[in-house]
Amino acid sequence: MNYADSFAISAIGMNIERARVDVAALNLANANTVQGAGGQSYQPLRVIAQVRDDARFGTMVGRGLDSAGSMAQLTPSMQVVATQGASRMVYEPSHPLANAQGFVAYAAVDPATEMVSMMSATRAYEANVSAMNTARTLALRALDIGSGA
Amino acid sequence: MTAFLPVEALSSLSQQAQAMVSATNAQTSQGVSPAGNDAATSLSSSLTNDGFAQMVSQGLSKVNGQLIGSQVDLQKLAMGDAQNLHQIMINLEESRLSFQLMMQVRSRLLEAYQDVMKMPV
Amino acid sequence: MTEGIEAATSAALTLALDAASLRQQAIAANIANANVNGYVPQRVSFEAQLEDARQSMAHIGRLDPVSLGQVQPRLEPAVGRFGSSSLVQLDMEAAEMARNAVHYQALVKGLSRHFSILSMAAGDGRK
Repeated sequence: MNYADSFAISAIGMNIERARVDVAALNLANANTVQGAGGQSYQPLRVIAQVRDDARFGTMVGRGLDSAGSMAQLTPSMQVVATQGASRMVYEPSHPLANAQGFVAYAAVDPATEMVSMMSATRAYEANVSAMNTARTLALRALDIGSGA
Repeated sequence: MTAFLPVEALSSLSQQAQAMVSATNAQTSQGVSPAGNDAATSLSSSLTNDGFAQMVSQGLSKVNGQLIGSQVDLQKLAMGDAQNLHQIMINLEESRLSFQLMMQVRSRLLEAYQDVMKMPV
Repeated sequence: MTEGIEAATSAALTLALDAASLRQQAIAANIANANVNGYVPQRVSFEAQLEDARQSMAHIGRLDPVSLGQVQPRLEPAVGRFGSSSLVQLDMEAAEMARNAVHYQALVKGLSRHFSILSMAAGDGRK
């Protein structure tokens, strides 16, 4: 297959993992924000990476390696969406923004979840980098065909 | 030096080979005794004449086709349409080797011809 | 070497090598300016200029050197998806640099093999 396709695939994978890390960092930064008087609190973001519609590996292999550009169909598409969970309520009656029952509404960010997703995104990013390096090594080795003499 | 050198080399080799074969054919047909097997010898000699010349020119056109195919592959690589890098390299190496083989065959044929021509009659 | 299919191949490979080296410079500039405010990433336009050459190749089966006459690799600013200017994305630039490096080496290998076949023909089979 076209060596340019393999680099594009790894690049899209790296992009998605970096977006995951960025989103986790953003969630962590907003972890202790409080629901203001207007009622809007921070909703944690999630990266949703979905397979494209017609990306079935079996049919693509059946069409053969010459189907140009079909490798690009296998890369996922990415969306960043806000979750809809309820806020985290903490009992702090002396807080200036406490409601009538004395509860303060914090953003529903779980630091442990964000750290875990950041670590797994880092590992996936490294795996994508290693895939790209391997693809480059293979292509350079293919250029050595016939120069053994 | 024109760029048609490989192609012209191929066609001149084909003409040389055909000249060689027709020269030896003329000698053998002169040496055959007129009594008896004229038809048979002329038939067999015409068969070998066509067979050898055909074989040589078929080989030459095959090598030429391989070389042109590799050139077109390289042009596609330059334009960014490369589909299969290893396939391009393999075809390039195959065409180079068959070209080398053809040059060796040509040298041997010419050597053999010159050896035959040097023989005192 | 001004006529024949060998000249078309040499001309095409040389032009592609020009484009690849210009692309390497553009990528290096993009990476160096990745965090600079207001920097517009540079790209090299070369393959997009080859439409005429591709059509003539589809017709006659080989490249016509005349169709390469107007093709010139040049720098142009990158345009984002909806016409707005885009930002530098480091991992896309790194992937593009790897792809460009492989492409450059493939072109150099192809050109040197091509010349070695011609020198074999010119040298009459002897070194």
